[in-house]
Amino acid sequence: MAEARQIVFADAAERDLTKLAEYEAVGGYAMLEKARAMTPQAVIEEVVASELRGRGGAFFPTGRKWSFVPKPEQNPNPHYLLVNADESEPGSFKDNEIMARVPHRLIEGCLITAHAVESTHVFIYIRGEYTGPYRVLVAALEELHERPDLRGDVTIVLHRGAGAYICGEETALLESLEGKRGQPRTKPPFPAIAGLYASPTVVNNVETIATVPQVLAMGGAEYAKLGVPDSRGTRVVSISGHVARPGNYEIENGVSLRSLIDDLGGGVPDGHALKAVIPGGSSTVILRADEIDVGYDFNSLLKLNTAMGSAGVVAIDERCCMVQLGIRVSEFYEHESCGKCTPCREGTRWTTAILRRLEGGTATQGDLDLLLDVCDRINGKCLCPLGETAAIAIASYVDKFPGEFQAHIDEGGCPFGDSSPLHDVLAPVAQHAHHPSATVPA
Amino acid sequence: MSTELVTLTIDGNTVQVPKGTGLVEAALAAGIEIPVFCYEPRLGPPVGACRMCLCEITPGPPKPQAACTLTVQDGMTVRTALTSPLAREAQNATLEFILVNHPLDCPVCDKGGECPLQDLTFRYGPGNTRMTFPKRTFDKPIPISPLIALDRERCILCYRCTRFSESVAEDGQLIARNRGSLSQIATFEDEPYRAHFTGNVIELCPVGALTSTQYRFEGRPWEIQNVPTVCGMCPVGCNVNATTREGKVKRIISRNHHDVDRGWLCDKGRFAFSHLRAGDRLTDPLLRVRRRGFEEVSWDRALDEAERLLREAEGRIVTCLSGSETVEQAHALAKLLRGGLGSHGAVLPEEVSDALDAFRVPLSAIAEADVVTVLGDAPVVERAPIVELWIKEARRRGARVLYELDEDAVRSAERAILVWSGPLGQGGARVAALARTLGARGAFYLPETANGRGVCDAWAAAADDEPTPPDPVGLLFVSGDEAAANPAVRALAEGAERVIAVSMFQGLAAGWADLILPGTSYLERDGTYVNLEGRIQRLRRVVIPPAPDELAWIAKLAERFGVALSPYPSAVFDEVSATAFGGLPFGEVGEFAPLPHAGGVETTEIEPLPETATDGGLRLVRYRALFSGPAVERVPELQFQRALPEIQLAESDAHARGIRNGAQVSVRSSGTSVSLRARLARDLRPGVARIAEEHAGDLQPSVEVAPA
Repeated sequence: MAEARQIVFADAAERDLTKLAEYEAVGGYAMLEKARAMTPQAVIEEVVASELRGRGGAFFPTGRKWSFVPKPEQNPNPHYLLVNADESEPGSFKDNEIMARVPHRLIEGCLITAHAVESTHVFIYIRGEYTGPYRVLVAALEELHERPDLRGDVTIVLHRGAGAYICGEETALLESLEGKRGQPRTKPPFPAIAGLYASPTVVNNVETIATVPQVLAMGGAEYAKLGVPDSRGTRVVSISGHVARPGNYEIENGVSLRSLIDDLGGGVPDGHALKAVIPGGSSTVILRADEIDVGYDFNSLLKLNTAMGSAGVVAIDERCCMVQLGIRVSEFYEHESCGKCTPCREGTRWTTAILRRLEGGTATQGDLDLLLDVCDRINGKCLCPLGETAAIAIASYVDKFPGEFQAHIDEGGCPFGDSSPLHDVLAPVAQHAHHPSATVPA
Repeated sequence: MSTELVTLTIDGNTVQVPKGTGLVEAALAAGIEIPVFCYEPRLGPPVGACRMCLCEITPGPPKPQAACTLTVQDGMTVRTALTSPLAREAQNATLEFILVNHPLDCPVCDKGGECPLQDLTFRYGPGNTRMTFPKRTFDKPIPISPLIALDRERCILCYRCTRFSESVAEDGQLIARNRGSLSQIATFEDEPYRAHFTGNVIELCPVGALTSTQYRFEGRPWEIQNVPTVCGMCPVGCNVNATTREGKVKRIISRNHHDVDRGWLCDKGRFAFSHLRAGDRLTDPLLRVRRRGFEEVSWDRALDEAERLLREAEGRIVTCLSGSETVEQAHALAKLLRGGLGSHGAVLPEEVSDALDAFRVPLSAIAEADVVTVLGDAPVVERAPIVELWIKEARRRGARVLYELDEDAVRSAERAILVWSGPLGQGGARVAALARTLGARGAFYLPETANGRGVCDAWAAAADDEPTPPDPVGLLFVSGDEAAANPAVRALAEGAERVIAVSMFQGLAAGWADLILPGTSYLERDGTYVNLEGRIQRLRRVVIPPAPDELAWIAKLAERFGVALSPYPSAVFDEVSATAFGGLPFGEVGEFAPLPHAGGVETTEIEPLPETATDGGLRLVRYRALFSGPAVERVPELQFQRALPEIQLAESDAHARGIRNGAQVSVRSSGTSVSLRARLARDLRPGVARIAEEHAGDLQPSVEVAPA
């Protein structure tokens, strides 16, 4: 299987689209002109027709989200567009490459979306560690600054995060952008009604916004012909872990998950066998190797109680210990828990402790039961999805590999010892670059 | 809140509440508890952090919902832990999580016995623990100020304290730092928590994480008694409970009067009580003995001396009142000195004008205002601290708060409130006249003394005769420490032949009194105070004073002059009330006093205000800092709160002089120069500068300010 028709990355393999002139040469910013000739409502309707859904992980229909924003006459406060570029999900690194290679497509998307939701204030909240894409975006915005015909009266502010996973959660992002401690807010009110500075705010993922110009170029109906029901168009997938060719690939929604690993990723190298696949970043329920003959789309994965999430596909081979994986994931969420709500703050610390005891070989059957019960008590009780997804993910490792957890108790220690090569899993900085023309820093 | 009613079901009970009611309150209306830790409506919008209030709610997602963040909707079905296994499991889970790292040191915790965490664990929590790992530990206790100790292990991170600091007091000093399970409460940059309202976080804390250094290890809840009374430290009259153990006051906590204080106290009201046990407290009368200074004498001897001095003065007596006396004490003195001895001359605390009564509204009305205008140039927070919190709340709710008179803004406002804080207010007559002219909804005058209004009323109620000041003064009768500190009184004392002073502390009147009688504090008296709203509030004797209270010995003294005077405040109050308070009986003053109805409009002559800033200089307003005075001086742990050597400047005045916030400046007036730090104050109009009395030295009313 080859990559799909390139939509987000269109023409990026052939040209250096970080340059405004190059981007214009392939028809860039033409859609902005087209959009501005349309009414905001017409732009929203085109996006609704495309059935585009949010690429950040929650998969909310983009056009519908925009339509929730009150009209200026209904709410006189400034309207804001906020691009969530705080990509921090372990296993996902697609926005990194999108910003690094097609910054102007993202900016054009910003300007079109701003027109659609009648905003003149755009913020791009970029993950602080993403220094490379940051520099690319700064240069692109400088080019835009010289082009008042393009930017019109829209201001785009690039804001760097300070290293908190939680700030990728949209309401924590709003708090952080307002200069407060990055902690989620309760919803409702939703950002579309009262977001940044209590004003109507659209928060969208980088990939979503970068897709918008192409939706207009193709026409919503044409875009909706790609993919499968409820998962239309293409998706940039980050494939990492134990695969021969890790990196970002733009695929059509609905292709088989196995083909992502075997065909695009080049399969598990060195003759090892595939053991498990994390389908959508560390927050999603893990799949056993025998479960991956499934369409990579919303509905198909939902049947397996898992999700595309932020499209971070992580292959894990048979040498890996699931308890060690659990510790890594649990430690991550313990470290990144914002500390606001009780179950997440206290629960993730507790699951880490139990998992360490399991790995250390001193756990009892009761500890394993407790682990599942603690996950259960976190799940569904938290203020935001952080704690909940941690609990779901960790519980899924036990659920899918019960024998392995049992073995840690029965054998009084880890059957894998020190040989579990976890270093290639969920920390794949070296694996981020797939496209040879792209330089994607850490 | 709307009058439209919404019907919902809570645990099978049909409940009707006004639209917009929070779910926690709606349940309470049905007699059902939804347990909470972080939820506290006085702190602003709910945050949903602790997850204690999880309930099963339809319609809604198929998981428990944080009830505290929801308002009632028509047709909503709510199932609390009483009826929903899902909610019960969720609340049990929350408590288990809260307790996994809590030290469970209840036996030595000050909060034990009055602790929401204990109570809710008892009702909803697990009976055992499954936590078999080492608990998280922190250094403790951390003194975040000389007044407050922080135990981070006990903290359950409900963020009530930081929300108070950020959204109520707006001092921004308490913060949360770090992340996840290592999150901790701290002060910004680890500086002491120095602000006017810090003690409230102790009461807000639902566990024993923030404790009062004064109260730590001082008593268990089953050994103490709480006496409902009112604070006598400023004219607001916050409703408080005074906690006593073994006859001593151990702490002051709030007793939420919804219209007066809404449960907040300033640090002076909360922490200054320990002046009752100051080392220099007078307990025996002191008589001046020729060439030997003072000698302690018995009360019988003291009363003999007092009687002799009063008789020898032959009516040439002037009485000086502090404004901290109860209504009953002031009336008793008036009956003795005016009625019995015909001496009507008096130096009274600042009288509050009756013209204000036409604009009488509760302090809580400030929060509802659309325009609040603060005039008079003295800082509100230093005079009547809680009023500042009401003004802040008004601003948060969208009101315009102005510190200069903008007549159009007041005229066009629907609910304008005027506040006069400072000198030249003519006891409120000026602000009342403005309110009448501009159509304001309410007007407040902030007097300097706690009960000046009640004292003046009580003094007036005793006789109608006009005072004719005697010359020379035969006897000056000085009641209380505020009067003793008044320069006008001191000047009179110099010319007076004899002086009787009533004082709590040694030294205050020692230089010029012939007889000093020990005074009592507001925490040691029964009686009534009238606050700045005109609200008559009940003061209760919390502890027995170390000396007889004033009313007792005044009554005895009165008997010697044939004046019938009851030593019981109830009887004295009823006498005053007949003329001054519309006959309100003492028994009906009440625990939560209502506000008397607004009276009729009276006209008062308004003197023109003096011109400001005539010579390019700034007009200096010297203000009495909240943390000053005889009581504060005797509380060591309050010393860090005393006014800093600062000059407050309006932003434009500072910029015009090239002065930045925090810069050292020199302040000069006719030969005097003082070096102070500049602070840019937003609650100050251009042309005026403010310095706390204790730092103002000999500066004259017009000052030049320049960078040092």
